[in-house]
Amino acid sequence: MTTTVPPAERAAAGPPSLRHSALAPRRRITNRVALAAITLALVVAVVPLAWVTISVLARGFEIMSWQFLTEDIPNSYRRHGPGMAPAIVGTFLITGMAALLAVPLGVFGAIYLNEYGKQKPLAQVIRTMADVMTGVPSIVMGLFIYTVVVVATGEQTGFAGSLALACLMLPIVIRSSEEILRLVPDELRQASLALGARQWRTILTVVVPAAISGIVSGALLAIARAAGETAPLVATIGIAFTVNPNLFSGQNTALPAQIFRNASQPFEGAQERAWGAALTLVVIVIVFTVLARVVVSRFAIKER
Amino acid sequence: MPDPFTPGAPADSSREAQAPAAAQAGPEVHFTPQEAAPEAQDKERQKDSLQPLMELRGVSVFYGDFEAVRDTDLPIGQNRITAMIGPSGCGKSTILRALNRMNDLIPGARVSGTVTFHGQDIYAAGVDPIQVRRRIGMVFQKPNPFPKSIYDNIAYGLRINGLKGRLDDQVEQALTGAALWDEVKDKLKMSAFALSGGQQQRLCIAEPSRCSPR
Repeated sequence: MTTTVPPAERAAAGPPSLRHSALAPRRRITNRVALAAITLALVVAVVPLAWVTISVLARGFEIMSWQFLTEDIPNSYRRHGPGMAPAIVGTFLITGMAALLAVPLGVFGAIYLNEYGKQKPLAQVIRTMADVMTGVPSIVMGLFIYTVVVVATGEQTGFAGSLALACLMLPIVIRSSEEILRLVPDELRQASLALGARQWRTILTVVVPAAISGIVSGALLAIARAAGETAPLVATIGIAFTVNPNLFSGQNTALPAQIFRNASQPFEGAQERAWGAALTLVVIVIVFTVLARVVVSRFAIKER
Repeated sequence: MPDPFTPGAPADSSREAQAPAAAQAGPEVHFTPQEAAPEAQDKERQKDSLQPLMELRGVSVFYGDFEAVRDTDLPIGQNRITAMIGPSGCGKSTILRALNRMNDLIPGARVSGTVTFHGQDIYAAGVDPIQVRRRIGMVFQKPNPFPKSIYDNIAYGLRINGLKGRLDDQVEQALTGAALWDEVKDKLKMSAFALSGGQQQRLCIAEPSRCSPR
């Protein structure tokens, strides 16, 4: 055990040593071991991440070109060469529509849960259901929309895909936003209410602005997750080889669906396109994440 | 536990000392001083002391089953500073929060007895707690500015009370009133969190005092 030397003894032994070596050996060793363990954990965690990134970059760049981004998809998996534009357009439209549906709904839902519902039975039920829904496999969402929407309308469309992705995003947005709203200190709400503000005003001008960066991060995570989802799209949007800008009619396609289809082919041309599509998707997600961070930091007031 | 500072306080069997009746010192509940001519003020004061602006009668506050404050009577005179002193946890803040219905916000909190303001019971049916709080301002023990700029912190309180458009003059007036203007006039767009603790508290004092209570 480390002992603190009583002042009297210390005076006798001269001034206390402030050097690192004066530390008890056990403390020195514990410190070293902890530092080493943490560094090791970091390295182990980074290895797969770096590996994936490097492979996607290296393999994706082989086919990446202006033509790859702008031309239609060859309708034969055997053929080599570019073309992923329909999937890029599809991903933007389908994910964008899904975000438009799920993010406002999810944020308002979270506001209800945290500001109004609290511990009421209805809120508890919604909370539990949202938790359960986050654990539902994405293919289930796809099949659900397939039976409810695609079978009813008799057509696979981009919008059906958006609905499936929105179902997937909704619980994530609700739960992440609620957690962030819960972090807003109660003193802020009370300060606003003590000024004589009504609750809606307190929420809109005090609570939500205080939580906005966290809410945006949560929404972004949900969008990024949805942009990479394959299973719900395969069931709901069908397949297209040319750009289909209309979400509400005709089959569509998206990058994850193309990665899935092309990568599972034995033909090299298709596999190249799958790597290219993977790279495109990663870049899109990165660009959007950075953009959103910039926008949020504009919102934030200057600290100094 | 008898409170040595308030000989007038009745001995109470509960662990909570009673909020002592009006003593003079530190302001926590704010009332804007009435704008009366100096010569009229003395007369005004005398009248005020006879007729309290607010009065607590038999007020008990419960948090669930726990009785935090028992059977308290307290007159609060107009244009006077009423101070409450007592040991930690004796219910001073609880009494304060009962004055503008802030206890409504605590789940399970319940107030019995009557709190009158200009003769009206603020806990009566049909009374809007928002209206009560707009007239009875409050500053908290811990400074709690909003995560906004210094300017917006003040402007928010002004807007709640229906002011629109350019608020620069009113903001300056409010900050001057709280003796903060000279320190912050060059950094109104800065976050209120960048202020020191004392400056933050003065900022909070500037907020509700502008809300023309009474």
